Amino acid sequence: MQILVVEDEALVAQDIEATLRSAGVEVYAAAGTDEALSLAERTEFDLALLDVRLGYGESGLMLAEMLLDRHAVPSLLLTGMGELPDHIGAFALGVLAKPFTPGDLVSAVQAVRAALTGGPVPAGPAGLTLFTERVTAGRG
Amino acid sequence: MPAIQPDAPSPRPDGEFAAAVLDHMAEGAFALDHAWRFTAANPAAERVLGRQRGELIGKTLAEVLPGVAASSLEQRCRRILADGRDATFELEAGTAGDLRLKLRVFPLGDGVGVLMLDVTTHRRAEADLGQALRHRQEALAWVDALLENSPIGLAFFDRQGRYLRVNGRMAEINGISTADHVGRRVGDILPSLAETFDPALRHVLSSSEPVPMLEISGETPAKPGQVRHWLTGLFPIRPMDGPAESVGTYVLEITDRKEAEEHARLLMQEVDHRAKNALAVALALLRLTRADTQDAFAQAVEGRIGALARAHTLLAARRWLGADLRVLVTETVNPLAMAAGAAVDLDGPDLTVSADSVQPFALALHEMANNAARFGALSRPGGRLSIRWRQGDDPKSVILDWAEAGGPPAQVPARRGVGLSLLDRNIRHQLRGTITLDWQPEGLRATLSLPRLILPPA
Repeated sequence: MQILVVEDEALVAQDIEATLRSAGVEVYAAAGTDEALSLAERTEFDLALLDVRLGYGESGLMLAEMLLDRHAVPSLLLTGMGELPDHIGAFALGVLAKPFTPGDLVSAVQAVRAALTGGPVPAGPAGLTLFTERVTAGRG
Repeated sequence: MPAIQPDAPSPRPDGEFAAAVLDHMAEGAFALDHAWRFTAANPAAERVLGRQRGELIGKTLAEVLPGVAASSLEQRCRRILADGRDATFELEAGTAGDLRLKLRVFPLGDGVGVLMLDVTTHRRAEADLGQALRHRQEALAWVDALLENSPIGLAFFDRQGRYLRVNGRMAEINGISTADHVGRRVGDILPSLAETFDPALRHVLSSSEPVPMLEISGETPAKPGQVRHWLTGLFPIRPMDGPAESVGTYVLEITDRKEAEEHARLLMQEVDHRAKNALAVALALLRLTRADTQDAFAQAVEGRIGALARAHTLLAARRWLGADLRVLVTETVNPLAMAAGAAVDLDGPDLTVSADSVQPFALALHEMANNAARFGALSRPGGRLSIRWRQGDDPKSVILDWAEAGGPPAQVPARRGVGLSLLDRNIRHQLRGTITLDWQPEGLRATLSLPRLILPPA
């Protein structure tokens, strides 16, 4: 499974990358939208993990929409923000609330992978919200 | 029997008619001789003076009327006799001065004739009316003063929804003169407000019930292009408790309050977001930190969490808008320098680090200071650390030079440790900057080029 991680918080990004690599995931990291879109041009990602509030370029919400429209890459949003727009289910697969543990992250990715492949979706961590019935994109 | 019995021995042919008139006239009539004694009185005079004719005839004015009234009347009668001309005047009589008489006095023989009308009730009614008018004028003056000095916008509408009157504050809110409101509807002059206001106005007119609290937002010519907010209330004006004949409304501008509420909401969101983000960073720090011993691990984590806490304290002090660069540098390096007996020299302009950059910059500074405390200029007395910064061409950019001296000779690290990795990721990944590290024998020299570190002045 190839995952694009877009997180501008350097240490959090480093931690996510290390956690996912330990779980056998091939990880590509970007700190902003321009870098993320450039990577998506060259790589077929199964999933993008996006920080909602990026310091540079467009927001994570905008990036999720662009990745879905241009590259059919579904996104799981990572956020510490309490309130998100109601319409995010139209272009994001789900939301994982920050802060999360490595275990939360891995089980969230497993739940997303199951949803994308059409299999039974295991119970994810408490901070995970999935909009699987509203998202059809993704290659599984 | 005729009412007046003059001294003349034979009545004139019209004497009967005159006597009848005197008997039936509403005015009192009496005659006084030269000594101001009553010589005749008609029934109306009896009623006004409260005495029968028999009790009047032969009595003096002073005996019939209370002292002041009699004295005043005598003076006037004396003047009339002297002048030979009629006079009309009013006189207060009665034991308590509560009787108001209007008198017409004319010369009659060697005395005077007096026609007398009790105008007490009339004058009292006039006084009452005058007082009522004064009260009404006073009340209107109060209303006018209240309207014109009120900090609240006030307006009145007729049943067709047209402005009848607005006060100065309402004119100010709307940016339209008071005169230019009159006769026009809200939709004519404030179209963006009509959609909310007009249904409320119709409701009050149809139900005669008030609409006490209504928040309304829109633009007015006072500040074109700016959406403002008001709290308004509408109430029926119901003369004699009938249906609403007009509608009053008050308008209180709450734009500042709404903006403050929105600001507070955003600030709370921001603080919540940053707190969760800080926890995520702290968890990442815990997992990424490596050390050979538990004490070394604890010390390393403590230093990094301390840098995070410092960043948040400084951010909170500036209401999460940024942090002072000099303070951030000082608070990071000075405790370590003091502990070692080393000297620090800081030089650079006053700049504010942007909110998003404070945390990664604080962590990067911590890693450099911590490295100096372990291996460089801040590791022993006599060490010297010079930190100088300047703005680049872009007002958001800054270049920071770090020069250590007086410590152990600097050496290129044998392996890339966690600290160096954290430093590199914070500078390059998060701050989108560059860092050059030059391990000179006299000490580490580093140059940080940070293109988006600074919050430009507003």
